[in-house]
Amino acid sequence: MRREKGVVASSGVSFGKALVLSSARPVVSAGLISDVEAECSRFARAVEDAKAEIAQIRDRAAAKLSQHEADIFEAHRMMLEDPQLISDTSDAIKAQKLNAEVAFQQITDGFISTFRAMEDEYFRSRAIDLEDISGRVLRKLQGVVTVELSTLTEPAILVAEDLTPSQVVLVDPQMVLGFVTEKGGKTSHTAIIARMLEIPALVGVAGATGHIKNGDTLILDGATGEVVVNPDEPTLAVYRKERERIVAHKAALREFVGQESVTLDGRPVTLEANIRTDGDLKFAKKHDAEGVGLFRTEFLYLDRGTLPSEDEQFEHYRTVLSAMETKPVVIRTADIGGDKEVAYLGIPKEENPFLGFRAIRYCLANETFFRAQLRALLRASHYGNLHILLPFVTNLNEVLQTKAIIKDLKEELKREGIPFASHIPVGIMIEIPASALMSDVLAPHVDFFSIGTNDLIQYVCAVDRVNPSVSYLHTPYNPAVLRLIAQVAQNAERAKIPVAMCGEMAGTPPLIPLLIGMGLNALSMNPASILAVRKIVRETRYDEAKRLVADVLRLSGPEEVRELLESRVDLV
Amino acid sequence: MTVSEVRILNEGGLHARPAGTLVKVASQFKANINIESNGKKANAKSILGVMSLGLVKDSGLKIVTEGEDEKEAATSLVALIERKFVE
Repeated sequence: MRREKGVVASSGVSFGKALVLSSARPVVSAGLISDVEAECSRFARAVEDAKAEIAQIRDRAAAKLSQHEADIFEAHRMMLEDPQLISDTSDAIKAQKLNAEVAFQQITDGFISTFRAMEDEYFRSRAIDLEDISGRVLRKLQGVVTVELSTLTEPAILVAEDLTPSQVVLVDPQMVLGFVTEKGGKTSHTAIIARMLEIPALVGVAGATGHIKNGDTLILDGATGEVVVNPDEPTLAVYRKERERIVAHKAALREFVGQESVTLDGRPVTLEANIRTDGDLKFAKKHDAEGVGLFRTEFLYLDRGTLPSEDEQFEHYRTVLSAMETKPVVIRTADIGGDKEVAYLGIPKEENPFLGFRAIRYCLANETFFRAQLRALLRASHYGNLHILLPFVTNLNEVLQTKAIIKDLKEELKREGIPFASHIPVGIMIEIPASALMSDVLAPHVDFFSIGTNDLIQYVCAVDRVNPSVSYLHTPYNPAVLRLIAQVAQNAERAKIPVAMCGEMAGTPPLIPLLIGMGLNALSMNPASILAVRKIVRETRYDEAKRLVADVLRLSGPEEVRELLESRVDLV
Repeated sequence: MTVSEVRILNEGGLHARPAGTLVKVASQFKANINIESNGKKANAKSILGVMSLGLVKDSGLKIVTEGEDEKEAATSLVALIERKFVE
């Protein structure tokens, strides 16, 4: 029995067999062959098998993700029909009597180095696609099974160096018991998706793919951040019990489906879901979200080669808005730049991307880009209850400029006879200390605030949340952060506009009474947290919560705050 | 032999998706089709060949078709590029 330590990205307890994913290409050994015909047909079979596999992934991507993703896999499949790749390999087998592995690798390596040497970032990174494809064919030739996350036949805990967002999206939640990765942080996409799927996940487990072997029995403890490798029977028994307790607790929370989110003394708090794509709506429905408090549109721009058109965006927004019917849907305009790199936009690399050219700053400097998204949003507003949210606002000028563009676009749509909703609230993210401090000045110009806590904490405390040596400072319990939030909420109340919070903090149980007391009107969170938060809302009194705020804001440090708040709620 | 000159208009250039579309259209014809740009030459029926030209927006290229349906092939491919690969 051995223990490995990591960072909890998604809580819960699970145990099962380890499935270690290695992305490395199999090692190929040279060998001359005598039967050229047999070698050529062995190669042809491997290519056909690989093509069939890619076609399956393509169809699954079309069903689970979007046609766009599917088209990319279709391009992968076409690469395996490429005459230059296929006939050149057969020629090399015949002419040089090479085995299929060596011949194929020679030919693909030629293309890979061509792509690597290219100037354009997009084409350079296509080398990875080709490595992926060639790895798949080589594994077929050597009879090594490629692990497809979407077609696992036995439940397992996945252990990997890192997982890409599209890999995680393709995961079948029935078959994946947990994630253990070497890289990635608490706020990485793997972490967010794991929480949404309610699958326990640990990230930052150093050397996991080396220390853990395929088939090892693992316990993944999402409370302590430990992986127990090959546990003994008494340890397993403890965890079995713990899991039963968690399952029972989740089942008990189901009774809050359909109940109102109001405090004991009648103050309503709207509990909403954060989503990334229309595919996430099923989680919002399952956990009875009262709306979508944050639809992060940047996922429409990531992982692709070209800009989505206005029509493509419109379709996506309309799908979400009509699915939510009259419930509010807050759509945040593109928060790209920073850590969300979009190669084809050609945003130059920066020394300090988190302090740089991102979100509204990029949008206002690239008006064609911004207008396409805003026009798509206005057109979609006709089909539901749209709220537009502007990210990363630093000053009033950015708000006024954006509102002028929106006004202009509305007139354009009117002239073209295209319908849009008569009232579309426009709000701003409060995530930069400057806008929090100026919230009294900003409030009269906007229809609502939404406090983005991940970034706000990062900027208030000057701490990079993905740097493990300082991330301990990134805590929502810091009284400086709480004082600023209280101030924003007060300014919103004075201007009579609603104030919401999105981000991890809004779904953290011990903080809920405090946020209610500060006067937050809506909390938007990972859908899986909604019912637990509703339970707390219904057990809280608003007048008592207000007194709690006064007590907490007098405390001197995060530890004291945490201790006081955690003593008040039952922690799962 | 038919030679046509054309310029890439779509934002992303000849990325995997448009390159795939181009290869699909080219493969419908019997003619030999080559694309030449920047001193490099590629078979238009090979997606890797087309992509390894690294054509970005505003790149100029020559389409050289040769065979019984060379005229139709040239017309279809030029039209496809000009309407930015919208099928």
